[in-house]
Amino acid sequence: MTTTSQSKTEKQYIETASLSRTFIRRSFATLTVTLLVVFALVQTVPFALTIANSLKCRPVVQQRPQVFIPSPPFGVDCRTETGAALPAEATSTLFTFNPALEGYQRVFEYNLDVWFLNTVYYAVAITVLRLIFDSLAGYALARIRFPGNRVFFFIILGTMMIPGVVLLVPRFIILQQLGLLNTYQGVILTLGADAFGVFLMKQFFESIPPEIEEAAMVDGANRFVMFGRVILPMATPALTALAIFSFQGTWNNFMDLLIIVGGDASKHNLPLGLAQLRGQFGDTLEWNTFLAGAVIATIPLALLFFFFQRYFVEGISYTGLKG
Amino acid sequence: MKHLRLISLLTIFMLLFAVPALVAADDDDADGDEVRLVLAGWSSSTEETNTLNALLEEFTATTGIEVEWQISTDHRTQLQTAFASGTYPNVFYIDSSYLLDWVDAGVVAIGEDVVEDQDGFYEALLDIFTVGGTLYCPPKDFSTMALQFNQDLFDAAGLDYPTADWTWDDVYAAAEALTDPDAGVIGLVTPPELPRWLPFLHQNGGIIFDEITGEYAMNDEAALEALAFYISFSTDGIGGAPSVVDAGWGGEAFGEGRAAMAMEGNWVINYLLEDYPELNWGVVELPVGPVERATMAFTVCYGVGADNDFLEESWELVNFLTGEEGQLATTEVSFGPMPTRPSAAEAYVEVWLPRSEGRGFDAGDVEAFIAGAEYSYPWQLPVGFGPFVDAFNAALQRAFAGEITAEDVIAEAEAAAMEIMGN
Repeated sequence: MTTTSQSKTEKQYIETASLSRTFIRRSFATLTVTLLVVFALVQTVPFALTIANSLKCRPVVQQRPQVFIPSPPFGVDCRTETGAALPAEATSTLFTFNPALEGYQRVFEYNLDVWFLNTVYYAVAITVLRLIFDSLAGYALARIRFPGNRVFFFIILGTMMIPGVVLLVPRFIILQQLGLLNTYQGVILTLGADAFGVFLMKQFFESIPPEIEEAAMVDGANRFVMFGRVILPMATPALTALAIFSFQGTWNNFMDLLIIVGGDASKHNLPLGLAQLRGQFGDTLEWNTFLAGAVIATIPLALLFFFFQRYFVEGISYTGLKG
Repeated sequence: MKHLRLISLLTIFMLLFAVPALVAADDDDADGDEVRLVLAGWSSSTEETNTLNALLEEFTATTGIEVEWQISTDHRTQLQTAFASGTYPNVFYIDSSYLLDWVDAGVVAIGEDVVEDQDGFYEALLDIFTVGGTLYCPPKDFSTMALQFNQDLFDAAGLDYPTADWTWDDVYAAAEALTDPDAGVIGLVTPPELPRWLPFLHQNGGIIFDEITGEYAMNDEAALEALAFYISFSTDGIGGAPSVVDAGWGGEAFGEGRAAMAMEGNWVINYLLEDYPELNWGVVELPVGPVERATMAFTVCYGVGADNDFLEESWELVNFLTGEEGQLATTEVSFGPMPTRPSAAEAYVEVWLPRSEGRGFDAGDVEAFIAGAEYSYPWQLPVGFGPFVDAFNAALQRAFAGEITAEDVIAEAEAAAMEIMGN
């Protein structure tokens, strides 16, 4: 009996003493969450507005761009029977809008399917090539002693220090002389290996203890067997990170593609195609069409991120770089 | 070993598809039998793309000549890189603003003797594509500037709507009466850009280059007066750049109802009908200047490449597209540029009838843009005059802000012109 009451008072004592501390901790947590919510909103609102505006009729985009609550009827027509546009009031109120599919219908009248397939082709081909070449080069630089090992590494690293724009003109001229301008090969060969990937793989391979390879060597494995059977399987996390970076980077690549295949509309990727939707003079921008294209271009990457989120984060921690 | 095999396979595969590219690049031109033309240009809408595609199919069906249409994203840059590389399209759009550069570069074939039915075009437009007395290419379409006015704002201010015989003073007085700083409305939106001001210069009898001697002439009293008038809208607070009323361009300022009047080209019709269907507005010709009536023509032609394996076929295509039938077909879906043959002008007005039905715009008003064809001046400068435009625009912006006077702008522009011509 006594022990129970004693422990009870003790408990009460502790509780009273820590009440203020709990209060501070709770309010701190609330503050943190509030801040996080605010930042999350700041990050999400542009996406929400992109999606909302891609579903509006043009007059509504112009006059009520901030409205983001959809309301029935869905799939309204933006025009009268004669083809005249309906006023903003007809398809929206001050707080809600009637979703219309005009933007999506129109964006498919452009070559969206071609751009999409091209983008997938570039992204897959370049990612595969980068996995092969970057890991091979990274391994050689990390493990094999050959004359000029360090020089080669610094040359490769050096290319990362040169601003990309400086290389645009020489790259264009070389591709033109090789007859690779406006070809798929021109894009894929040029971007099929990159210094960043080599660097990433080299750093990773160096973190693997050499004893493992020595053990394999004792078992009679040559370099390639060792690389293929022992080292590569261990490098899966780095390879995944590299694959994700390459895929994402290639998917969104605008500048290189503009230089290499800018002259041939049938080889454009999504970013190049979307730029074309801006019209020749920029004044004629059809906002709903343009944003519908942007949404379609974003979906695959968003899905990729959703399913491989863990690897994205791991990848960032490997390199200390931002994706 | 599995990986090794995979790697070597992929490497071989990659080399395999790289090598044909190197070979294929050479024998592109060598194709003997089949005539295949490349047409390079831009498109402002899906409708325009579809119509041109249909026209090209018809052309192929009647002549057996294949045409590939390459849509440019940045036409001028892309064509200039193509010229530099030595292989360029057979037929390509040429905007009048850079015609002289391209003619000078020797990439444009002469059309003087091959362009058909030259009398059927607006003469002013043919003149634009005539260099040194030689016609290079037939006009594809054109745009002119006219005066747009917001009927609701005019009604609210109790003013009569503008008419085609308004003078500079009428525009100024109306702009003054329509300006409402509390409501954030300016009377007239005046973009600080050279081509927007040039109508005033020409209306006042001025010109950039003397037509006979070819000497720089934008430094006389007429230019000064016209410029001072244009700047006064901004400095008196009754007009100004689109940014003054938080708009990206004149059409947006006008559509939002923050500028009671604007002087845009016919590209504004589609924009306003599509994005601001409830707007009540009208169009009249630009005001009559102290000396004469004038507006600007922005126009594009179909140029034929000088270094061309299929010269004859290229002209056949161009004549087909600029002929009566081609012009009528493009007119039916043209949501901006006007046909270059007077015979298609009526069809252009009719295009707007269904699309403006039940809206606060009378399709008949587009006549004001068409009327400009007769008295328009080209937007065209000599080779290398890009920096001149930049210098003028920069100075004009400072003048709008009240930092410098019209005299200073004229002087800075002249200095820039002298530097270019001195080279």
